[in-house]
Amino acid sequence: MSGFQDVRDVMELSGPTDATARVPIAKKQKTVERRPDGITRELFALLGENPPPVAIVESKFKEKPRWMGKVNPWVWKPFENPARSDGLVLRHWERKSEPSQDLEYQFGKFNVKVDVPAYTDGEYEVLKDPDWTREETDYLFNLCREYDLRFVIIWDRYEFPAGKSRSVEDIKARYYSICRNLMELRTPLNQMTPEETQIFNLLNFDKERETARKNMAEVLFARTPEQVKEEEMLLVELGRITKNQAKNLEERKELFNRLEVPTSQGSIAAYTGSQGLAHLREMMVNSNDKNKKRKSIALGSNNSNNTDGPQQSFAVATSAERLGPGGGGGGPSQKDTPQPKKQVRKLTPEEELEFGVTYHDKLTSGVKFRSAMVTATVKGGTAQKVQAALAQLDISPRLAMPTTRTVQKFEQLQTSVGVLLDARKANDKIDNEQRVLKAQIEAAKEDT
Amino acid sequence: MSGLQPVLPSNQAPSTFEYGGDEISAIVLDPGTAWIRAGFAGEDTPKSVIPSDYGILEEAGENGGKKYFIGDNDVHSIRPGMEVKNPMSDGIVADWEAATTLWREAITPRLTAALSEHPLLMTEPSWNPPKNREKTIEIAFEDYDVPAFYLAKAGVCAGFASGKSTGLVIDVGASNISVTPIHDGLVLRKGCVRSPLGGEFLSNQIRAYFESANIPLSAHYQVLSKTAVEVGKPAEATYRTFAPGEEPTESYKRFQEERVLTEFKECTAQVWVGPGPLPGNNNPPLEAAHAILSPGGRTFEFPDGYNLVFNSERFRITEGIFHPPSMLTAPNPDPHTTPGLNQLIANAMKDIDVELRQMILNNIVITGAGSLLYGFTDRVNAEIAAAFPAPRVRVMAAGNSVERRYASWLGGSILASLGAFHQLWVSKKEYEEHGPNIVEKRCK
Repeated sequence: MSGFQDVRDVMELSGPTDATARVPIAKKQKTVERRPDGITRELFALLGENPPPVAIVESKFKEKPRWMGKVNPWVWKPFENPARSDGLVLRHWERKSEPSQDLEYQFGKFNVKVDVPAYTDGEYEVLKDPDWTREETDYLFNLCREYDLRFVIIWDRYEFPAGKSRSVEDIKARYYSICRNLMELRTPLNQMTPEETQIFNLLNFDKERETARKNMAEVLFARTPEQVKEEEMLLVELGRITKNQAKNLEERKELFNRLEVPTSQGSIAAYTGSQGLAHLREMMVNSNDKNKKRKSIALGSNNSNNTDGPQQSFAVATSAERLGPGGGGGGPSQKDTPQPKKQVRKLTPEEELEFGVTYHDKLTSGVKFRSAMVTATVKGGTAQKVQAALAQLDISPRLAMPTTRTVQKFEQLQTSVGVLLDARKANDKIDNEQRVLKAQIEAAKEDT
Repeated sequence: MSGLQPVLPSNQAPSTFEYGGDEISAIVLDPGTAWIRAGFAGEDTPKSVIPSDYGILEEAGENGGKKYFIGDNDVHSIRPGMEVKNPMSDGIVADWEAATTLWREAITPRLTAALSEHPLLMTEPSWNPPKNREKTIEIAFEDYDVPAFYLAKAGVCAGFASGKSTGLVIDVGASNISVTPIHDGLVLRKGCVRSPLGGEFLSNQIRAYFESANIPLSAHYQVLSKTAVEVGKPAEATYRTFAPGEEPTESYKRFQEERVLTEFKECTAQVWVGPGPLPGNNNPPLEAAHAILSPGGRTFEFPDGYNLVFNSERFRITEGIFHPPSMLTAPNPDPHTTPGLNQLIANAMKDIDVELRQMILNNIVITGAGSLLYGFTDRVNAEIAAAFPAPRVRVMAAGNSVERRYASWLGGSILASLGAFHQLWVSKKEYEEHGPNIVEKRCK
């Protein structure tokens, strides 16, 4: 604190006096003094000015709940259901404070019925169907009323004495055709309101279509596990294809965008001035350059697809070879010059020799020395003997100038040496055997 | 929605429209072959559950009439000459006099003495004939004098208990396994099928197995004290002796043995996982199946202390439910004409409109105490999934054993406590006007 005062003195500031400065200190100490119960003074002193790290909860009883009001009484009250005609009185518990409740039973409004049309005898004359008797039609309409048009249930409970068996579709078709005809009979089609026309159209029940749909549903239901599995697989496949299709389309579109000459869609207002014209010219030159480049790239890619492509590259390779390993620099320049498109021409053996064109069965990728491509024609133990024989003849195992022809000759040489060595070996063996046999004969002669 | 609303203080009632309930303290009675369940509508468990089996002594009551012994306490006590009978046959009432007494006894001591003040909702199996239904409503109005009555299908109620108004209810009861397709709270009659392969059948299978393996079956009442013995060793117990003429009847003995068999079903019997029948069932050596089935057997101790480890037999006794040809020797039902549970489900589905099948297979509800057999629901699930590969199959079975056993009662309790249901009650006035025939018209 004194440091603070010193600074003030130095800067000649008339700040708060010592007395006023001390007031907050006193306050602070007061707050420190207030320490909650259940924590020792020493421990509290260690905490300093920070709030205690754990919440200290005083143990006391739970507060008495404060009820919002007084208890509301309930009464065991009789009630009548307006949905019933017999006046049955049931009882339930009700709040005493709700007097309006007994006017109308609140669940009475759930008593709803489906509106099933009724027809008169005269009207039935129009609704006749050779397949249905009047009695059966009446029976059907009663069931419709009883089961609220749940046709599956109606079909399930349908037991008309001496009637034929009806399918759900038969029942539905009969019901809807009667409804439709009755509606038309009562209000001619041209006098119907739009709502009525809508309902009239909805009543059109297509029995054939429904039957076909049911049959298909049946087939779908009776699928075997294999079919289910196959279907799942096909669906996955379809998903994959459609996903890829979108990707392919995207790629193709991008390609088309690249190939197409960009057409200007903006207004030409920007190019009316002389400056604008200069800018336009620059742009066109640039775009022309780009186009040229694109064309050349496109041509190059076309060429590579042609049959003379590989020949050309071979020619490059052979020319490089003719120039020797050091003269390879000539290659790229040749490649850069655009090759005029020409007819594919078969080369005669002489020409092949002249141009240095060779064909290979198999070429592995990458650069390598031809000397490394010398195939070892002899194998096994003979190979070493051949090497030794060649060393005797002062021929290095690695050719100094491995051209196609020298390599070929070298291979021939190796083979011949190998054959010769094999022949000598065989000769020696036979000589040995001869000698042994001769010695045996000698011994046999001596014995006899 | 409910999460957004503030919590109601405890002195305010929730709006009845939130759950559509309006409790009129109706009584729900769900009589079964093994147990009769009764309680107030709107509660979640029946308050009173008594066995359907009752004891009867001829010429012991007042004025030399019959005397009934009803309820767990009475029917299990040893009385010389007391016959134990059951009023039900094939899931429906055969002995009306006894049934009337039993049902009243299920309600009056624990629920209310004033039957005339409470509407009564009863459940019935889907194959209950019209004559029986008329007799039931007659008893309700004439004998019990209820103000209103309704007869609900047990299958529909079991569906309601699982929150389904459309679905397939597989109820494994004591006398039958029934498969009931329901749609919009109505039974599809053409698809209702049943097979006598319930709990009683299983008991007979266990009895047949015990007989074939020479395993002595004892009942708790026969044993006074017992000492622990090694597995497979003969029992060392002191048995109760009866003076000549004081012995309990044969039906009492059988009833008491049934309790031991129930215990056996609960803790030892198991259902093979499936799908398909238990392997090696028709050829005597079960070794192949043995290896697959279970590494360790389960021990069961009989009341007299005799105990055994059961291995593959545990599966063999239950296999008849799914695959009747592999049932153990039992005089009836006929193994070749009785449809197993798989066949039942297939038969039920055959007579249902194809548009409903998908929805029904998606809401399969398994109830009944018999379905608490270990591995039962898994097997049903596997069998249905194998039989119907194309549609999505979802099998629901309450994990809570109370809910599973009392599902049809619970559904009835829900139904009778709904505000919109109260217009469906058949009132006493209507009954007096139309006669018992009204039940056919009103309780569909």
